[in-house]
Amino acid sequence: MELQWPLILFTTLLAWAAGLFAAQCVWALRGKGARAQMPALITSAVLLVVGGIAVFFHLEHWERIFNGFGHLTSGITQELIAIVVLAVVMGVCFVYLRRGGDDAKVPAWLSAIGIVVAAVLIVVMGHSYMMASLPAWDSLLQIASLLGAACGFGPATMALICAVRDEASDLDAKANLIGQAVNVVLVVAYLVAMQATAGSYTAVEFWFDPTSPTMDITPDGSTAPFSGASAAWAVTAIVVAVAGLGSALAGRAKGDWKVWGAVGAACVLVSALALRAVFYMTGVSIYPFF
Amino acid sequence: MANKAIVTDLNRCVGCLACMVACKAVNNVPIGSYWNKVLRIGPSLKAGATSAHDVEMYYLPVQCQHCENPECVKVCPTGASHKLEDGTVQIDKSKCIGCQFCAMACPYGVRYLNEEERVVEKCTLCEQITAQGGLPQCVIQCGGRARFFGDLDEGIDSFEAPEIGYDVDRSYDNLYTGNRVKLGDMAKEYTEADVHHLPDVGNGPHFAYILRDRDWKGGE
Repeated sequence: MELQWPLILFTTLLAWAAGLFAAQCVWALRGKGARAQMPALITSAVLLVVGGIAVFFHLEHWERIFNGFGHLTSGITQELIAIVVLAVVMGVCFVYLRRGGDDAKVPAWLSAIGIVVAAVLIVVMGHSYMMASLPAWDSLLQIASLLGAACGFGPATMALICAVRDEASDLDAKANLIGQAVNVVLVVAYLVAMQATAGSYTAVEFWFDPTSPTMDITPDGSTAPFSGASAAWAVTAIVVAVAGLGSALAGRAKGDWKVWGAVGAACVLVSALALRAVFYMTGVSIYPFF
Repeated sequence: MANKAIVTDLNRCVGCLACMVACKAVNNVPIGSYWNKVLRIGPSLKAGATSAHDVEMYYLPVQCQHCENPECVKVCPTGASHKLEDGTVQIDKSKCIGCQFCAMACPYGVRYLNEEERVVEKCTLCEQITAQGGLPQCVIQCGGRARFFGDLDEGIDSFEAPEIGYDVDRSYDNLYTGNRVKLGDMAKEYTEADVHHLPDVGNGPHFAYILRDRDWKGGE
């Protein structure tokens, strides 16, 4: 399948938005980074909006979006509902933060809800791509890889914002190490899962399509992430995710989260984009002849 | 509720591609898109082949299988892809937002984005003709009289195609309304084991293929 950049940006930016919002909720639960809460909330809201705008570039007739929109079995409808719920929770957080000024605190119950809703949004978003027709997509590890990206994005961005607001804490290093390690593990796990689907496609030995008489029917490796054109993207996803983990280690050693937070977030971004590129390149139908 | 479908007797299909051409002509299918495509499966070595020349093959017309549990309908956010009372899967183009999730979810890749109208299209089983009692154009034009149309609930022996022979009225109008022969009366004997379907990933493809004395390739 061709790379669907609007959808790649949508999933990546939503993972970032949800990851950052969940991270700020974790920080709030731990009583850290009070002055970073509002900038973090605004940043995640902006990411959510930009991701939402990106997806419109995928739609051929976005003006018809409310023309019967709401078919509940559709992953797209479920995503929209989850986004609205997250936006509402963000709105409630905003009200709490505005009322309390610079030292405002988000209540623990709201932080807990924020973490859950952010995770649910990512699960729903990933689930909408689980299609039995596309073996490489039809994996729980595909959802987990998005959760992994959120785990990488959130702490890195939160540590950066805390550093800018002079609110560095021991949570920066701990959360970043865990988040980046989780991201590496889940990136690798999903790529391995994709590779393992290589035998799931219908095979008929020789065949011929009269509408494409010169088509090469020998396997081109498009069903496996570590072969053909997707191999470079797959390797990039892993190497850059590992670099993200390196940035967390460097941040812990040097304590300069303005630099290492930014580097960590950038690594997760590149890794997530590369993984989604592999995702589309291996998006081959179970019956790949038509 | 009916379950309209097409059964193709692959032992009769000669690979003339008339169904493909007829479909494009009657449905104005854009250049580069196909609502119906005839694939050649093989040549493959016969079971127990003693030389490289001992091979077999068959032609396989593929199109929307108008499934029991269509994945395309499930993922459509606006209900543009929907199932009708006659069991066919149709697209309400005025509701389609062009998200193409249906094309991704279809196990057979038989859906296309119409670049001009910017909506997804596919085989309609010639609803414009069958709703008036006619047969799909690919069934009408089949050069090998291999394709039959009917309701699965009544069994595939009841499926119909235009009658053939020198003494039948083969005028164009009669192709739509009368002059029918049933698969059960015309097809050579077949068993349950000779009836095949495209691979099923939970969607339940309704179309069936009869293939006798040859190896069905690709699983079900």
